[in-house]
Amino acid sequence: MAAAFFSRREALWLLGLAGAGCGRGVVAPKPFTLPQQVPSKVVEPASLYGDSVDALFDVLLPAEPQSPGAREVKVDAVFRVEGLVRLAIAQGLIAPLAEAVVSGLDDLSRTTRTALNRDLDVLASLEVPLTPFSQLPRDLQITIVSRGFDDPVRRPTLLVVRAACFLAYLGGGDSDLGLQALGYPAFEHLEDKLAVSGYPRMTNGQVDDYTFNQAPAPTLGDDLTLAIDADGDLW
Amino acid sequence: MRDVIVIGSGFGGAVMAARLSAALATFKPGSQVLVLEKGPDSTGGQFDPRSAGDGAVNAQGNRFRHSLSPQYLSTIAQLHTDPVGAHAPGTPSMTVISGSSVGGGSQVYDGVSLRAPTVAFEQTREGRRLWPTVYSRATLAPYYSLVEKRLNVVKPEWTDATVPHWQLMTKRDFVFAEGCRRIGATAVGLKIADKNDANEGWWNEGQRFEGRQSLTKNYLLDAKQSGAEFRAGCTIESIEPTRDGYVVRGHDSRTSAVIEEECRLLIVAGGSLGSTGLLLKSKERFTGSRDLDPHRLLGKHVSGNGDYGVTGVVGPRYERDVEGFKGKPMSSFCPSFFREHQFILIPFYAAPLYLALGQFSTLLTPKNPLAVGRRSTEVANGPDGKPERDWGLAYKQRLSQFGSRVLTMGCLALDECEGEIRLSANEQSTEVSWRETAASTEKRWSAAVTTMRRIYEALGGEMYLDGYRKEGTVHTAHPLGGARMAVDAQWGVVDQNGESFGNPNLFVVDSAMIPSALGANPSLTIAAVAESIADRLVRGVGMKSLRDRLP
Repeated sequence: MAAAFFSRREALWLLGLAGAGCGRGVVAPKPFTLPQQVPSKVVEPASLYGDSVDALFDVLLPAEPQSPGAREVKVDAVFRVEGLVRLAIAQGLIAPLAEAVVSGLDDLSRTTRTALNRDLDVLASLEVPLTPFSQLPRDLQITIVSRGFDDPVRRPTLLVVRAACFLAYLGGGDSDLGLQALGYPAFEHLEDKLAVSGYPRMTNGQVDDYTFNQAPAPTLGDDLTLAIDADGDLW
Repeated sequence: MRDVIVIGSGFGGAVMAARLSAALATFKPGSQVLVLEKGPDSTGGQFDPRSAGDGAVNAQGNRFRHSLSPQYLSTIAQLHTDPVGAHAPGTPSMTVISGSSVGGGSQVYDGVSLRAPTVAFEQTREGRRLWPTVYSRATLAPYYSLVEKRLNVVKPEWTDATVPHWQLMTKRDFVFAEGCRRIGATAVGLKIADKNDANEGWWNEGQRFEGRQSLTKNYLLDAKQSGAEFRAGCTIESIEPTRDGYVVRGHDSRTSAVIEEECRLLIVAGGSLGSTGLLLKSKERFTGSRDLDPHRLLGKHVSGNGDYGVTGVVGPRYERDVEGFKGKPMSSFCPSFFREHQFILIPFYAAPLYLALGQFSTLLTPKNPLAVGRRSTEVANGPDGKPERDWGLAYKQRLSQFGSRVLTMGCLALDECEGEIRLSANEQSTEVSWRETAASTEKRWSAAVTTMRRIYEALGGEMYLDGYRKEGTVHTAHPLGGARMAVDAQWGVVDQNGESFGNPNLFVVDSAMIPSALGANPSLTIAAVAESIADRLVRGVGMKSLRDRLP
C-alpha cells in the first residue's frame, strides 16, 4: 500500500528505518556477502529468445551455471496460465491491483504480451536504434527493466511478469529445478513409485536428521490439560 | 419438478447431498438430488482419482496427477477483495480466498479438522447467545464424530519409530515446537483429514499424490453412489419462489446454455460469499410475507475467523529444517494461549508462491551483514546506488540464502464478525469489506502477533510481515457468516436448521449460516452442523420431516 504514496525506494527506506529501530540482539548468522563478479557468470542465450518478453523473463530470472533460469523452469508455460494475475494476487505474490488493471491483464499471454513486446522494443530503440529488446546487451536490458519498475505505469505489468518467473522458479509450475537449486529434494521419483518427503534427511545413505525419532522436549509449566482434551481438540 | 436441488458442493452442500440422496433412496426411489456447482470438476468426473486415471501410483497407493500446476489452482480458487479499501492506504479492508470447484473449499483446504471450542458456541452479543441453543460443543459431538470418521481424520505422530514417514509431523513442526518451548508454550499435533499422504506438500496447489481427503473422495462420492446428479460449471444467478417450491436460474459457463430448474426443496450451499451473494441478487424476487431479509441482515456479521498470518526467518541453526516446501501444510499447533487470549497458532508450509508473498523485498540485502533479515537494519544499496533489486541474479542468490529459513505461521482467533459482504455496483459479483476492527479483536491479534514475534526471536530469527498493520488488510481463507442463523428473524436470516424464516423448504446450509468466529479451522464444524441438520430433517426432529416435505 505504501507504494501508492511513496516510491519504492522511499518505501524501502522507511521500512529499513523502522527496522533499524526494532533491531534486537539476535544470534548472528554468518556474514552475508554477495558472490563476486556476478555478471561474468550470467548465461546470455540472446539468439535463442523467441521474443522480447522471452528475453525479459531471462533478465528477471537469469540462468547460472549451477542454477536454472526462466527457460529451464518453464516460465513461459506459467505465463500462459489463464487468470495468472488473479492467481498471483490471491497467492499474495503481488498486492491487490485495481479491477480495471486486473481486467486489462486478463489476456496476459496474447494482448498483454503483444503490447509488452512493443513497449520493450520501443524502449530498446531509444537506447540502440532499430534494435529490439531481445538483442540488446544484458546491461542495457537490466537498465530498461529497472526504469520500468520505477515507472508507475509499467510497474504492475512487470510485477506480474516477475511473479510468473518466481512462481515457476519456486516450483509452482511443473518444474522443480528451482527448488532443487535451493537445496530441496526433487518432487518425486516415479520410477521407484516413491514420493520424496525429504524426511528424515539422509546424507550419503545415513540419517542426518536431529529430529529423527525424537519427540519435542516437554515444556515445563505449561499445563496443556487446561487447553485441550485427550483427542487434541480445544476444550 | 425436481425434489431437491443443492447449489454448491463444499462442506455444507456435500453433506446435505449425501444424506438427502441416501434418505430419498429409502422412501422415494427414482427421485434424484441435483447438485449444481459453479466451479469445474477438477477430478474429471472420477471424484476419487485413486480409483481411476492413468497416472503412476506411488508407494502409498495414491495416484499421480499434474494437480500442482497453477492452471489447476486457477480453476479452483477465487479471490474476493474490497475494491475501495484495498486501494486506500490505511483503510481497513478484507481479502477472501475460497474454493471454487466440485468439492468447494475442500479442494484448497489443508485438511485441518479441529472441533470448535466450547467458548465459540457461547459467544454473546447484546446479551444474546449468537448460536441457537441446539448447538454446543456437546450437542455437536456425535456429528463431529461422524464427519471425522468419513473424512478419515487422523493425528500425525511426532516420532518415526513405528509409523511410515508420511504419517509424521514435518520438520517444520519440530522447529515450531522448539520455538514454543523456548517461550514457555507447547506445540501439539493437529487433527487432519488425510489418508496415507505422501508427505510431499503442495496441498494448496493440489497434491501431486492424492492423500488429502477432499470431499470428492467421501461425501460427494456417497451422494453420487446414492444417485445424485452433478453438474459442474453452473453459475446460478437467481432463485425465486414458485407456488410449489423454487426455481433456479443461471447458465452453464462452458456452453452458455440457460439453466432453469424447479424444485420443491432448495439448499443453498455456495459458501459464505457464494450463498450470501446469491441471496442478495435474488432478494427482490422475494416479496411480502416471503421477504428473505426483512431485517436487512443479509451480508452482515461476517467473520474472518480471526485469520492473521505472518512470515519470518529462523536462525541459521535451523537451515533447511523448516522444509517450507515439503510435507503436510499444517500438522501442529500451539493451544497454550487460547484460554487467556482466544487464539491458537499454526505453523504452515511456505508454499512456493507464499515464500515470495508479495514480499520479495523480505529478501533484500540488509545493510548490516550480521542482520537476520529485512527488519534488522536498512536495506543495502546496489552498485547503482539504488536498493538491491528484488529480481534478477542477485535476488536469486539471496533466495538461496534465506529461502530455506523462511517460516510462515498464523493465528486463528475469535473475532467480532466485523466483515460485510455486498454486491458490486453492477450486481454481478460479490465484494467484501472490513471497515473497523473491534477493540477485542485487535487485542487478540496484538497478543498473537507479539507471541509469534517472540517465537521467531527465540529461534534466532526475526518476524518479517505484519500484513494487517502494514496494509490494513484482513486476509482470510475462512469466511463465516453473511446469512447467519438465529432463533428469530430479528437476529438472523435463517433459523437453527438453516431454513429461511419466511420461505419453507429454502435452506442455507454452509459457512454462510455460521453466526460467529470459531477460533479453529471451520470445515469440520460446518460439516458437523450440516450433519445435524440433515439428521433432524430426515428424522423430522424439531422440524417437518423430509418425507412430509416431499409428498
